[in-house]
Amino acid sequence: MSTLAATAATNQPPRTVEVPQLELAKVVVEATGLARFLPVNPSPNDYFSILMANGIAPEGGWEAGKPVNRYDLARVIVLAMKQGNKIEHPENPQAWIYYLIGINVPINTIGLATKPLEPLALPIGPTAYSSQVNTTKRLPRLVPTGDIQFGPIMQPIRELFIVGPGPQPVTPTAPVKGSRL
Amino acid sequence: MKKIVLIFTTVAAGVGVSLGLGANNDIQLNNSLRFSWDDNYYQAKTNKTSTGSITEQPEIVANYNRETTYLGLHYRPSFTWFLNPDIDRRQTVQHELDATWNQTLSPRFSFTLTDTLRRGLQPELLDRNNQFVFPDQSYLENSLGGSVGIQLRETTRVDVSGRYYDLRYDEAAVASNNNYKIYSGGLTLRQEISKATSVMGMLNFDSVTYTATGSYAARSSSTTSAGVGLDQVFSPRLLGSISGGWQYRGFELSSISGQNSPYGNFSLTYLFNPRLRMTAGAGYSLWEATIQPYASQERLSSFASVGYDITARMSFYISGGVTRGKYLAEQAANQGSAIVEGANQTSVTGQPVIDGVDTIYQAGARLAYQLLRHNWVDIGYSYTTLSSDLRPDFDKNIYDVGWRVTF
Repeated sequence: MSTLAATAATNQPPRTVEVPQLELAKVVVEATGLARFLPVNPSPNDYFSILMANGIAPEGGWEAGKPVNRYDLARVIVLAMKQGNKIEHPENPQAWIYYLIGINVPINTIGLATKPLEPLALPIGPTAYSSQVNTTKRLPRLVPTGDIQFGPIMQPIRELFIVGPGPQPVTPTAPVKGSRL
Repeated sequence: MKKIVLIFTTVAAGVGVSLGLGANNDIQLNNSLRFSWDDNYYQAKTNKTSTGSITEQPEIVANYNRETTYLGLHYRPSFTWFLNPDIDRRQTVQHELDATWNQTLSPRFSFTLTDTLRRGLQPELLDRNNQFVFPDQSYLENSLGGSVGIQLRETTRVDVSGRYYDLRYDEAAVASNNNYKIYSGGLTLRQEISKATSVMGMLNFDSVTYTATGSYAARSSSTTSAGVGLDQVFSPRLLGSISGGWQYRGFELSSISGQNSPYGNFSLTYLFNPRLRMTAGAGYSLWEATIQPYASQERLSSFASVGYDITARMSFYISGGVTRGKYLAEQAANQGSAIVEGANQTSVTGQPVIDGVDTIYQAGARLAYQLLRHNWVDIGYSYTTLSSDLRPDFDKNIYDVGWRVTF
Protein backbone atom coordinates (compact mmCIF):
# COMPACT_ATOMS: atom_id res chain seq x y z
CA MET A 1 0.00 0.00 0.00
CA SER A 2 2.93 2.33 0.59
CA THR A 3 3.67 3.02 -3.05
CA LEU A 4 0.02 3.34 -3.73
CA ALA A 5 -0.35 5.85 -0.99
CA ALA A 6 2.58 7.82 -2.18
CA THR A 7 1.65 8.07 -5.81
CA ALA A 8 -2.04 7.64 -6.23
CA ALA A 9 -4.06 10.76 -6.84
CA THR A 10 -7.78 10.29 -6.73
CA ASN A 11 -8.65 13.67 -8.18
CA GLN A 12 -6.25 13.57 -11.06
CA PRO A 13 -6.35 11.68 -14.34
CA PRO A 14 -4.78 8.27 -14.15
CA ARG A 15 -1.03 8.36 -14.60
CA THR A 16 1.20 5.71 -15.96
CA VAL A 17 3.56 4.72 -13.19
CA GLU A 18 5.47 1.61 -12.45
CA VAL A 19 3.35 -0.12 -9.87
CA PRO A 20 5.21 -3.15 -8.52
CA GLN A 21 3.45 -6.48 -8.40
CA LEU A 22 3.77 -6.57 -4.62
CA GLU A 23 1.42 -3.57 -4.40
CA LEU A 24 -1.09 -5.29 -6.66
CA ALA A 25 -0.83 -8.44 -4.53
CA LYS A 26 -1.58 -6.45 -1.36
CA VAL A 27 -4.66 -4.82 -2.90
CA VAL A 28 -5.98 -8.15 -4.19
CA VAL A 29 -5.35 -9.93 -0.86
CA GLU A 30 -7.33 -7.24 0.95
CA ALA A 31 -10.16 -7.09 -1.60
CA THR A 32 -10.62 -10.86 -1.63
CA GLY A 33 -10.75 -11.16 2.15
CA LEU A 34 -7.55 -13.19 2.38
CA ALA A 35 -5.82 -10.74 4.70
CA ARG A 36 -7.02 -12.63 7.75
CA PHE A 37 -4.86 -15.60 6.82
CA LEU A 38 -1.67 -13.53 6.95
CA PRO A 39 0.60 -12.95 9.93
CA VAL A 40 0.80 -9.47 11.37
CA ASN A 41 4.11 -8.76 9.63
CA PRO A 42 3.73 -10.55 6.30
CA SER A 43 6.60 -10.91 3.89
CA PRO A 44 6.15 -10.57 0.11
CA ASN A 45 6.23 -14.37 -0.07
CA ASP A 46 3.34 -14.52 2.43
CA TYR A 47 1.20 -12.37 0.09
CA PHE A 48 2.17 -14.34 -3.00
CA SER A 49 1.73 -17.73 -1.33
CA ILE A 50 -1.82 -17.08 -0.18
CA LEU A 51 -2.76 -15.79 -3.64
CA MET A 52 -1.17 -18.78 -5.35
CA ALA A 53 -2.95 -21.11 -2.93
CA ASN A 54 -6.17 -19.61 -4.28
CA GLY A 55 -5.07 -19.94 -7.90
CA ILE A 56 -4.34 -16.23 -8.44
CA ALA A 57 -1.10 -15.34 -10.20
CA PRO A 58 0.15 -13.49 -13.28
CA GLU A 59 1.14 -15.64 -16.24
CA GLY A 60 4.80 -15.38 -15.32
CA GLY A 61 4.24 -15.80 -11.59
CA TRP A 62 4.64 -13.16 -8.90
CA GLU A 63 7.72 -10.99 -8.71
CA ALA A 64 7.72 -8.31 -6.01
CA GLY A 65 9.47 -5.52 -7.85
CA LYS A 66 8.27 -6.18 -11.39
CA PRO A 67 5.97 -3.45 -12.72
CA VAL A 68 2.38 -4.49 -13.35
CA ASN A 69 1.28 -4.45 -16.97
CA ARG A 70 -2.25 -4.73 -18.27
CA TYR A 71 -1.90 -8.37 -19.23
CA ASP A 72 -0.91 -9.33 -15.73
CA LEU A 73 -3.52 -7.07 -14.18
CA ALA A 74 -6.31 -8.49 -16.33
CA ARG A 75 -5.30 -12.06 -15.60
CA VAL A 76 -5.05 -11.50 -11.85
CA ILE A 77 -8.42 -9.75 -11.70
CA VAL A 78 -10.21 -12.45 -13.70
CA LEU A 79 -8.66 -15.21 -11.57
CA ALA A 80 -9.56 -13.35 -8.38
CA MET A 81 -13.14 -13.14 -9.67
CA LYS A 82 -12.99 -16.93 -10.13
CA GLN A 83 -13.92 -16.55 -13.78
CA GLY A 84 -10.74 -17.87 -15.34
CA ASN A 85 -12.68 -20.75 -16.85
CA LYS A 86 -14.58 -18.28 -19.01
CA ILE A 87 -11.49 -17.27 -20.99
CA GLU A 88 -11.72 -19.20 -24.24
CA HIS A 89 -8.08 -18.74 -25.21
CA PRO A 90 -6.17 -18.27 -21.98
CA GLU A 91 -2.86 -18.52 -23.82
CA ASN A 92 -3.71 -15.23 -25.55
CA PRO A 93 -2.97 -12.36 -23.12
CA GLN A 94 -5.38 -10.06 -24.94
CA ALA A 95 -8.22 -12.48 -24.23
CA TRP A 96 -8.08 -11.65 -20.53
CA ILE A 97 -8.26 -7.93 -21.27
CA TYR A 98 -11.12 -8.36 -23.73
CA TYR A 99 -13.03 -10.41 -21.21
CA LEU A 100 -12.84 -7.66 -18.60
CA ILE A 101 -13.79 -5.02 -21.15
CA GLY A 102 -16.70 -7.23 -22.14
CA ILE A 103 -18.07 -7.22 -18.62
CA ASN A 104 -17.43 -3.49 -18.22
CA VAL A 105 -14.46 -3.69 -15.91
CA PRO A 106 -12.02 -0.90 -16.80
CA ILE A 107 -8.36 -1.71 -16.33
CA ASN A 108 -6.90 1.76 -16.66
CA THR A 109 -6.06 1.79 -13.00
CA ILE A 110 -5.61 -0.85 -10.36
CA GLY A 111 -8.25 0.88 -8.28
CA LEU A 112 -10.89 0.59 -11.00
CA ALA A 113 -9.89 -2.92 -11.96
CA THR A 114 -10.02 -4.26 -8.42
CA LYS A 115 -13.31 -2.56 -7.57
CA PRO A 116 -15.48 -5.52 -8.64
CA LEU A 117 -13.52 -7.92 -6.46
CA GLU A 118 -15.38 -9.45 -3.56
CA PRO A 119 -14.28 -11.62 -0.66
CA LEU A 120 -13.80 -15.15 -1.98
CA ALA A 121 -16.73 -17.38 -1.16
CA LEU A 122 -14.49 -20.40 -0.58
CA PRO A 123 -11.13 -18.99 0.44
CA ILE A 124 -8.28 -21.45 0.75
CA GLY A 125 -6.12 -20.74 3.71
CA PRO A 126 -3.61 -22.70 5.73
CA THR A 127 -4.70 -22.23 9.34
CA ALA A 128 -4.93 -25.63 11.01
CA TYR A 129 -1.32 -26.37 10.20
CA SER A 130 1.48 -23.93 9.75
CA SER A 131 5.20 -24.42 9.80
CA GLN A 132 5.56 -21.02 11.43
CA VAL A 133 7.48 -21.13 14.70
CA ASN A 134 7.85 -17.37 15.16
CA THR A 135 5.67 -16.54 18.16
CA THR A 136 4.70 -13.12 16.80
CA LYS A 137 3.26 -14.82 13.71
CA ARG A 138 1.47 -17.83 15.15
CA LEU A 139 -2.25 -18.30 14.75
CA PRO A 140 -4.53 -19.27 17.66
CA ARG A 141 -4.93 -22.97 18.24
CA LEU A 142 -8.43 -23.46 19.62
CA VAL A 143 -11.13 -23.84 17.01
CA PRO A 144 -13.48 -26.55 18.27
CA THR A 145 -15.67 -26.50 15.18
CA GLY A 146 -12.70 -27.49 13.08
CA ASP A 147 -10.22 -25.43 11.18
CA ILE A 148 -9.69 -25.25 7.45
CA GLN A 149 -6.43 -26.56 6.07
CA PHE A 150 -6.36 -25.78 2.38
CA GLY A 151 -9.96 -26.88 1.95
CA PRO A 152 -10.48 -29.87 4.25
CA ILE A 153 -11.86 -29.33 7.72
CA MET A 154 -9.34 -30.62 10.22
CA GLN A 155 -10.70 -31.41 13.66
CA PRO A 156 -8.29 -30.15 16.29
CA ILE A 157 -7.13 -32.50 19.03
CA ARG A 158 -9.10 -30.86 21.76
CA GLU A 159 -10.18 -31.66 25.27
CA LEU A 160 -7.15 -33.82 25.97
CA PHE A 161 -4.94 -31.41 27.78
CA ILE A 162 -6.56 -32.29 31.06
CA VAL A 163 -5.45 -35.90 30.88
CA GLY A 164 -2.33 -36.50 32.88
CA PRO A 165 0.65 -38.58 31.85
CA GLY A 166 0.60 -42.34 31.89
CA PRO A 167 -1.99 -44.54 30.17
CA GLN A 168 -5.38 -43.46 31.44
CA PRO A 169 -8.94 -44.52 30.76
CA VAL A 170 -10.98 -41.98 28.89
CA THR A 171 -13.36 -41.78 31.79
CA PRO A 172 -11.19 -40.56 34.62
CA THR A 173 -11.64 -41.43 38.24
CA ALA A 174 -12.85 -38.02 39.27
CA PRO A 175 -16.10 -37.95 41.18
CA VAL A 176 -19.39 -37.68 39.40
CA LYS A 177 -20.72 -34.20 39.17
CA GLY A 178 -24.37 -33.62 38.48
CA SER A 179 -26.77 -36.16 37.13
CA ARG A 180 -29.04 -36.44 34.18
CA LEU A 181 -31.45 -38.71 36.00
CA MET B 1 19.06 -3.86 -21.43
CA LYS B 2 16.71 -5.57 -19.00
CA LYS B 3 15.07 -2.22 -18.28
CA ILE B 4 14.58 -1.55 -21.98
CA VAL B 5 12.99 -4.94 -22.41
CA LEU B 6 10.75 -4.27 -19.43
CA ILE B 7 9.65 -0.92 -20.83
CA PHE B 8 9.06 -2.47 -24.22
CA THR B 9 7.02 -5.22 -22.69
CA THR B 10 4.98 -2.76 -20.73
CA VAL B 11 4.34 -0.55 -23.71
CA ALA B 12 3.50 -3.55 -25.81
CA ALA B 13 0.93 -4.50 -23.24
CA GLY B 14 -0.54 -1.04 -23.60
CA VAL B 15 0.04 -0.41 -19.97
CA GLY B 16 -1.36 2.75 -18.52
CA VAL B 17 -1.81 0.86 -15.29
CA SER B 18 -1.86 3.54 -12.70
CA LEU B 19 -2.94 3.30 -9.13
CA GLY B 20 -6.05 5.37 -8.69
CA LEU B 21 -7.32 3.51 -5.67
CA GLY B 22 -10.70 4.81 -4.74
CA ALA B 23 -13.08 3.77 -2.04
CA ASN B 24 -13.92 0.10 -2.08
CA ASN B 25 -16.26 -1.33 0.50
CA ASP B 26 -17.69 -4.79 0.62
CA ILE B 27 -19.96 -6.58 2.99
CA GLN B 28 -20.61 -10.21 2.28
CA LEU B 29 -23.00 -12.46 4.10
CA ASN B 30 -22.53 -16.21 3.92
CA ASN B 31 -24.23 -19.14 5.52
CA SER B 32 -23.10 -22.69 5.93
CA LEU B 33 -25.18 -25.63 7.10
CA ARG B 34 -23.31 -28.86 7.71
CA PHE B 35 -24.15 -32.38 8.81
CA SER B 36 -21.28 -34.37 10.26
CA TRP B 37 -20.86 -37.92 11.46
CA ASP B 38 -18.15 -38.53 14.04
CA ASP B 39 -17.42 -42.19 14.82
CA ASN B 40 -15.54 -41.48 18.07
CA TYR B 41 -16.83 -38.36 19.75
CA TYR B 42 -15.26 -39.15 23.13
CA GLN B 43 -11.88 -39.74 21.51
CA ALA B 44 -11.75 -43.15 23.19
CA LYS B 45 -9.42 -46.02 22.41
CA THR B 46 -12.19 -48.61 22.79
CA ASN B 47 -15.97 -48.49 23.26
CA LYS B 48 -16.31 -45.69 20.77
CA THR B 49 -19.40 -43.51 20.77
CA SER B 50 -20.53 -42.14 17.45
CA THR B 51 -22.82 -39.22 16.85
CA GLY B 52 -24.21 -37.08 14.12
CA SER B 53 -24.21 -33.34 14.50
CA ILE B 54 -25.62 -30.34 12.71
CA THR B 55 -23.62 -27.15 12.53
CA GLU B 56 -25.07 -23.82 11.48
CA GLN B 57 -22.53 -21.11 10.62
CA PRO B 58 -23.60 -17.65 9.49
CA GLU B 59 -20.68 -15.46 8.46
CA ILE B 60 -20.05 -11.78 7.86
CA VAL B 61 -17.04 -10.58 5.89
CA ALA B 62 -16.55 -6.82 5.65
CA ASN B 63 -13.84 -4.83 3.89
CA TYR B 64 -13.23 -1.09 4.12
CA ASN B 65 -10.56 -0.05 1.65
CA ARG B 66 -9.16 3.45 1.18
CA GLU B 67 -5.96 4.89 -0.23
CA THR B 68 -3.99 4.39 2.92
CA THR B 69 -6.35 2.41 5.12
CA TYR B 70 -7.64 -1.12 5.08
CA LEU B 71 -10.03 -2.49 7.65
CA GLY B 72 -11.12 -6.10 7.45
CA LEU B 73 -13.64 -7.85 9.65
CA HIS B 74 -14.65 -11.48 9.71
CA TYR B 75 -17.19 -12.84 12.17
CA ARG B 76 -18.48 -16.38 12.22
CA PRO B 77 -20.57 -17.86 15.00
CA SER B 78 -21.09 -21.63 14.94
CA PHE B 79 -23.93 -23.52 16.58
CA THR B 80 -23.56 -27.28 16.80
CA TRP B 81 -26.26 -29.69 17.91
CA PHE B 82 -25.42 -33.33 18.68
CA LEU B 83 -27.94 -35.96 17.72
CA ASN B 84 -26.93 -38.93 19.87
CA PRO B 85 -29.18 -38.86 22.97
CA ASP B 86 -26.49 -40.67 24.97
CA ILE B 87 -24.19 -37.70 24.65
CA ASP B 88 -24.78 -35.42 27.55
CA ARG B 89 -23.39 -32.33 25.86
CA ARG B 90 -26.15 -31.49 23.40
CA GLN B 91 -24.96 -28.19 22.02
CA THR B 92 -21.80 -26.12 21.66
CA VAL B 93 -21.42 -22.55 20.48
CA GLN B 94 -18.33 -20.97 19.02
CA HIS B 95 -17.69 -17.35 18.08
CA GLU B 96 -14.81 -16.42 15.79
CA LEU B 97 -13.83 -12.83 15.13
CA ASP B 98 -10.89 -11.72 13.00
CA ALA B 99 -10.12 -8.03 12.59
CA THR B 100 -7.31 -6.47 10.54
CA TRP B 101 -6.24 -2.84 10.29
CA ASN B 102 -3.50 -1.90 7.82
CA GLN B 103 -2.49 1.76 7.83
CA THR B 104 0.08 3.51 5.67
CA LEU B 105 1.33 6.67 7.27
CA SER B 106 4.01 7.55 4.73
CA PRO B 107 5.80 5.78 1.89
CA ARG B 108 8.31 4.47 4.40
CA PHE B 109 6.16 3.92 7.45
CA SER B 110 3.16 1.65 7.99
CA PHE B 111 1.57 -0.39 10.71
CA THR B 112 -0.77 -3.34 11.05
CA LEU B 113 -3.02 -4.34 13.92
CA THR B 114 -4.83 -7.65 14.04
CA ASP B 115 -7.10 -9.18 16.59
CA THR B 116 -8.27 -12.78 16.66
CA LEU B 117 -10.96 -13.57 19.17
CA ARG B 118 -12.44 -16.99 19.90
CA ARG B 119 -15.19 -17.67 22.40
CA GLY B 120 -16.25 -21.25 22.92
CA LEU B 121 -19.16 -22.46 25.00
CA GLN B 122 -18.57 -26.13 25.73
CA PRO B 123 -20.56 -27.47 28.65
CA GLU B 124 -19.27 -30.36 30.71
CA LEU B 125 -19.50 -33.76 29.07
CA LEU B 126 -20.62 -36.86 30.94
CA ASP B 127 -20.78 -40.37 29.60
CA ARG B 128 -23.79 -42.64 29.84
CA ASN B 129 -22.79 -43.61 33.40
CA ASN B 130 -22.71 -39.97 34.44
CA GLN B 131 -18.95 -40.06 34.72
CA PHE B 132 -16.90 -37.13 33.62
CA VAL B 133 -15.35 -37.31 30.21
CA PHE B 134 -14.56 -33.63 29.97
CA PRO B 135 -15.43 -30.81 32.33
CA ASP B 136 -16.84 -27.50 31.16
CA GLN B 137 -14.19 -26.13 28.85
CA SER B 138 -15.84 -22.88 27.83
CA TYR B 139 -13.11 -20.40 27.11
CA LEU B 140 -12.17 -16.99 25.82
CA GLU B 141 -9.10 -16.80 23.64
CA ASN B 142 -7.75 -13.56 22.26
CA SER B 143 -4.67 -12.77 20.23
CA LEU B 144 -3.83 -9.12 19.62
CA GLY B 145 -0.91 -8.48 17.32
CA GLY B 146 0.72 -5.36 16.00
CA SER B 147 3.58 -4.59 13.69
CA VAL B 148 5.30 -1.42 12.55
CA GLY B 149 7.15 -1.56 9.26
CA ILE B 150 9.85 0.91 8.34
CA GLN B 151 11.35 0.96 4.85
CA LEU B 152 14.89 2.03 5.63
CA ARG B 153 16.04 1.88 2.03
CA GLU B 154 14.51 0.63 -1.20
CA THR B 155 15.77 -2.86 -0.47
CA THR B 156 15.89 -2.80 3.33
CA ARG B 157 12.97 -3.05 5.69
CA VAL B 158 12.63 -3.52 9.40
CA ASP B 159 9.50 -4.81 11.17
CA VAL B 160 8.97 -4.44 14.87
CA SER B 161 6.18 -6.76 15.98
CA GLY B 162 4.39 -7.65 19.17
CA ARG B 163 1.66 -9.99 20.24
CA TYR B 164 -0.45 -10.42 23.31
CA TYR B 165 -2.24 -13.71 23.73
CA ASP B 166 -4.70 -14.54 26.48
CA LEU B 167 -6.46 -17.84 27.15
CA ARG B 168 -9.06 -18.05 29.90
CA TYR B 169 -11.38 -20.87 30.89
CA ASP B 170 -14.70 -20.32 32.65
CA GLU B 171 -14.60 -23.35 34.94
CA ALA B 172 -12.48 -22.54 37.97
CA ALA B 173 -10.94 -26.00 38.24
CA VAL B 174 -9.83 -25.94 34.61
CA ALA B 175 -8.75 -22.32 34.74
CA SER B 176 -6.61 -22.84 37.81
CA ASN B 177 -4.06 -24.80 35.82
CA ASN B 178 -4.65 -23.79 32.23
CA ASN B 179 -5.17 -20.03 32.00
CA TYR B 180 -2.15 -18.33 30.57
CA LYS B 181 -0.91 -15.24 28.75
CA ILE B 182 1.85 -14.87 26.20
CA TYR B 183 3.70 -11.65 25.55
CA SER B 184 5.80 -11.75 22.39
CA GLY B 185 8.05 -9.20 20.78
CA GLY B 186 10.16 -9.48 17.69
CA LEU B 187 12.43 -7.62 15.34
CA THR B 188 12.86 -8.65 11.70
CA LEU B 189 15.39 -7.05 9.39
CA ARG B 190 14.78 -7.89 5.74
CA GLN B 191 17.26 -7.25 2.97
CA GLU B 192 16.40 -7.85 -0.67
CA ILE B 193 19.58 -9.03 -2.31
CA SER B 194 18.08 -9.77 -5.72
CA LYS B 195 14.67 -9.84 -7.38
CA ALA B 196 14.31 -13.45 -6.32
CA THR B 197 16.01 -13.50 -2.95
CA SER B 198 15.54 -11.79 0.40
CA VAL B 199 17.44 -12.57 3.55
CA MET B 200 16.24 -11.87 7.07
CA GLY B 201 17.65 -11.57 10.53
CA MET B 202 15.23 -12.20 13.39
CA LEU B 203 15.25 -11.67 17.12
CA ASN B 204 12.24 -12.74 19.20
CA PHE B 205 11.30 -12.83 22.84
CA ASP B 206 8.22 -14.36 24.38
CA SER B 207 7.00 -14.92 27.87
CA VAL B 208 4.37 -17.50 28.85
CA THR B 209 2.73 -16.71 32.16
CA TYR B 210 0.28 -19.07 33.83
CA THR B 211 -2.03 -16.72 35.62
CA ALA B 212 -3.69 -18.99 38.17
CA THR B 213 -2.44 -20.88 41.17
CA GLY B 214 -3.31 -24.53 40.56
CA SER B 215 -0.95 -27.40 41.16
CA TYR B 216 0.56 -27.01 37.69
CA ALA B 217 0.39 -23.23 37.44
CA ALA B 218 4.10 -22.84 38.06
CA ARG B 219 4.97 -23.65 34.46
CA SER B 220 5.72 -20.10 33.35
CA SER B 221 8.69 -19.60 31.07
CA SER B 222 10.50 -17.06 28.92
CA THR B 223 12.06 -17.81 25.55
CA THR B 224 14.60 -15.89 23.51
CA SER B 225 15.14 -16.80 19.86
CA ALA B 226 17.63 -15.53 17.32
CA GLY B 227 17.87 -16.68 13.75
CA VAL B 228 18.15 -15.97 10.06
CA GLY B 229 15.82 -16.63 7.15
CA LEU B 230 15.62 -16.73 3.40
CA ASP B 231 12.71 -16.01 1.05
CA GLN B 232 13.39 -17.38 -2.39
CA VAL B 233 11.49 -17.29 -5.67
CA PHE B 234 12.85 -20.48 -7.21
CA SER B 235 10.79 -20.04 -10.32
CA PRO B 236 7.77 -17.92 -11.23
CA ARG B 237 5.55 -20.69 -9.88
CA LEU B 238 7.58 -21.92 -6.93
CA LEU B 239 8.06 -19.88 -3.77
CA GLY B 240 9.98 -20.99 -0.73
CA SER B 241 10.78 -19.67 2.72
CA ILE B 242 13.19 -21.08 5.23
CA SER B 243 14.38 -19.83 8.58
CA GLY B 244 16.27 -21.20 11.51
CA GLY B 245 18.20 -20.30 14.60
CA TRP B 246 18.56 -21.00 18.26
CA GLN B 247 16.22 -20.76 21.24
CA TYR B 248 16.74 -20.66 24.95
CA ARG B 249 13.84 -21.22 27.34
CA GLY B 250 14.15 -20.46 31.01
CA PHE B 251 11.53 -21.57 33.55
CA GLU B 252 10.11 -19.86 36.57
CA LEU B 253 10.52 -22.99 38.66
CA SER B 254 14.12 -23.33 39.67
CA SER B 255 13.69 -27.10 39.73
CA ILE B 256 13.23 -27.13 35.94
CA SER B 257 16.45 -26.66 34.07
CA GLY B 258 16.58 -24.29 31.10
CA GLN B 259 16.22 -25.61 27.57
CA ASN B 260 18.54 -24.89 24.64
CA SER B 261 17.27 -25.91 21.25
CA PRO B 262 17.67 -25.15 17.58
CA TYR B 263 14.52 -24.08 15.74
CA GLY B 264 13.59 -23.88 12.12
CA ASN B 265 10.79 -23.92 9.60
CA PHE B 266 10.33 -24.02 5.87
CA SER B 267 7.41 -23.74 3.49
CA LEU B 268 6.97 -24.19 -0.23
CA THR B 269 4.13 -23.09 -2.47
CA TYR B 270 3.96 -24.40 -6.01
CA LEU B 271 1.42 -23.36 -8.61
CA PHE B 272 1.49 -26.03 -11.31
CA ASN B 273 -1.17 -24.02 -13.15
CA PRO B 274 -4.13 -21.94 -11.96
CA ARG B 275 -6.10 -25.17 -11.48
CA LEU B 276 -3.52 -27.13 -9.53
CA ARG B 277 -1.53 -25.83 -6.57
CA MET B 278 0.37 -27.34 -3.70
CA THR B 279 1.82 -26.15 -0.44
CA ALA B 280 3.99 -27.96 2.08
CA GLY B 281 6.04 -27.10 5.10
CA ALA B 282 7.58 -28.18 8.36
CA GLY B 283 8.69 -26.54 11.59
CA TYR B 284 10.61 -27.54 14.68
CA SER B 285 10.80 -25.50 17.87
CA LEU B 286 10.09 -25.35 21.58
CA TRP B 287 6.35 -24.99 22.16
CA GLU B 288 3.89 -24.58 25.02
CA ALA B 289 3.00 -27.94 26.56
CA THR B 290 -0.52 -29.21 26.00
CA ILE B 291 -0.16 -32.07 28.48
CA GLN B 292 0.16 -31.55 32.18
CA PRO B 293 2.32 -31.34 34.24
CA TYR B 294 4.94 -30.67 31.57
CA ALA B 295 6.11 -27.10 31.14
CA SER B 296 7.39 -27.37 27.60
CA GLN B 297 7.58 -29.61 24.55
CA GLU B 298 9.87 -29.94 21.55
CA ARG B 299 7.44 -29.83 18.67
CA LEU B 300 7.92 -31.00 15.10
CA SER B 301 5.06 -30.25 12.74
CA SER B 302 4.76 -30.90 9.03
CA PHE B 303 2.00 -30.64 6.46
CA ALA B 304 1.25 -30.91 2.76
CA SER B 305 -1.83 -29.79 0.84
CA VAL B 306 -3.01 -29.96 -2.76
CA GLY B 307 -5.91 -28.16 -4.42
CA TYR B 308 -7.23 -29.06 -7.86
CA ASP B 309 -10.07 -27.47 -9.84
CA ILE B 310 -11.42 -30.50 -11.66
CA THR B 311 -13.86 -28.43 -13.68
CA ALA B 312 -15.04 -24.86 -13.54
CA ARG B 313 -17.58 -25.87 -10.90
CA MET B 314 -15.85 -28.69 -9.07
CA SER B 315 -12.77 -28.52 -6.85
CA PHE B 316 -10.95 -31.17 -4.88
CA TYR B 317 -8.66 -30.60 -1.92
CA ILE B 318 -6.55 -32.96 0.09
CA SER B 319 -4.36 -32.18 3.06
CA GLY B 320 -2.37 -33.97 5.70
CA GLY B 321 -0.26 -33.11 8.70
CA VAL B 322 1.79 -34.66 11.46
CA THR B 323 2.57 -33.05 14.80
CA ARG B 324 5.06 -34.74 17.10
CA GLY B 325 5.65 -33.44 20.62
CA LYS B 326 8.50 -34.66 22.77
CA TYR B 327 8.06 -34.26 26.54
CA LEU B 328 10.76 -34.66 29.16
CA ALA B 329 10.09 -35.60 32.77
CA GLU B 330 12.78 -33.21 33.93
CA GLN B 331 10.65 -30.36 32.56
CA ALA B 332 7.52 -31.25 34.51
CA ALA B 333 6.14 -28.91 37.14
CA ASN B 334 5.26 -31.84 39.37
CA GLN B 335 7.86 -34.54 38.99
CA GLY B 336 6.64 -36.80 41.76
CA SER B 337 3.59 -38.41 40.25
CA ALA B 338 1.16 -38.15 37.41
CA ILE B 339 -2.18 -36.54 38.07
CA VAL B 340 -5.58 -36.78 36.47
CA GLU B 341 -7.87 -33.81 36.82
CA GLY B 342 -11.58 -33.80 37.16
CA ALA B 343 -13.66 -30.69 37.02
CA ASN B 344 -13.51 -30.03 40.73
CA GLN B 345 -10.94 -32.42 42.06
CA THR B 346 -7.44 -33.54 41.25
CA SER B 347 -6.51 -37.11 41.97
CA VAL B 348 -3.00 -38.53 42.11
CA THR B 349 -2.57 -41.70 40.09
CA GLY B 350 0.74 -42.64 41.64
CA GLN B 351 2.27 -43.23 38.22
CA PRO B 352 5.63 -41.60 37.68
CA VAL B 353 6.03 -38.76 35.23
CA ILE B 354 7.96 -40.15 32.29
CA ASP B 355 9.66 -38.97 29.13
CA GLY B 356 7.35 -39.49 26.20
CA VAL B 357 6.35 -38.68 22.67
CA ASP B 358 2.89 -37.58 21.58
CA THR B 359 2.15 -37.82 17.86
CA ILE B 360 -0.95 -36.66 16.03
CA TYR B 361 -1.61 -37.65 12.41
CA GLN B 362 -4.36 -35.94 10.44
CA ALA B 363 -5.57 -36.17 6.88
CA GLY B 364 -8.56 -34.67 5.18
CA ALA B 365 -10.17 -34.34 1.78
CA ARG B 366 -13.00 -32.28 0.37
CA LEU B 367 -14.92 -32.17 -2.87
CA ALA B 368 -16.79 -28.92 -3.50
CA TYR B 369 -19.31 -28.35 -6.26
CA GLN B 370 -20.80 -25.02 -7.30
CA LEU B 371 -24.50 -25.61 -7.82
CA LEU B 372 -25.40 -22.07 -8.77
CA ARG B 373 -23.48 -18.83 -8.79
CA HIS B 374 -23.89 -18.35 -5.04
CA ASN B 375 -24.48 -21.92 -3.90
CA TRP B 376 -22.00 -24.67 -3.16
CA VAL B 377 -22.31 -28.15 -1.78
CA ASP B 378 -19.38 -30.14 -0.53
CA ILE B 379 -18.54 -33.46 1.01
CA GLY B 380 -15.58 -33.99 3.26
CA TYR B 381 -13.73 -36.61 5.20
CA SER B 382 -11.08 -36.32 7.88
CA TYR B 383 -9.09 -38.90 9.76
CA THR B 384 -7.30 -38.25 13.02
CA THR B 385 -5.20 -40.56 15.10
CA LEU B 386 -3.23 -40.01 18.25
CA SER B 387 -0.30 -42.19 19.22
CA SER B 388 1.10 -41.27 22.59
CA ASP B 389 3.27 -42.50 25.43
CA LEU B 390 1.52 -40.06 27.74
CA ARG B 391 -2.22 -40.29 27.14
CA PRO B 392 -4.68 -42.76 25.65
CA ASP B 393 -4.35 -43.43 21.93
CA PHE B 394 -7.39 -43.07 19.73
CA ASP B 395 -8.45 -42.62 16.16
CA LYS B 396 -11.55 -41.11 14.64
CA ASN B 397 -13.22 -40.61 11.31
CA ILE B 398 -15.46 -37.70 10.50
CA TYR B 399 -17.65 -37.52 7.41
CA ASP B 400 -19.55 -34.38 6.55
CA VAL B 401 -21.73 -32.83 3.92
CA GLY B 402 -22.40 -29.12 3.74
CA TRP B 403 -24.27 -26.46 1.85
CA ARG B 404 -22.90 -22.96 1.59
CA VAL B 405 -24.60 -19.90 0.21
CA THR B 406 -23.46 -16.31 -0.24
CA PHE B 407 -25.93 -13.46 -0.25
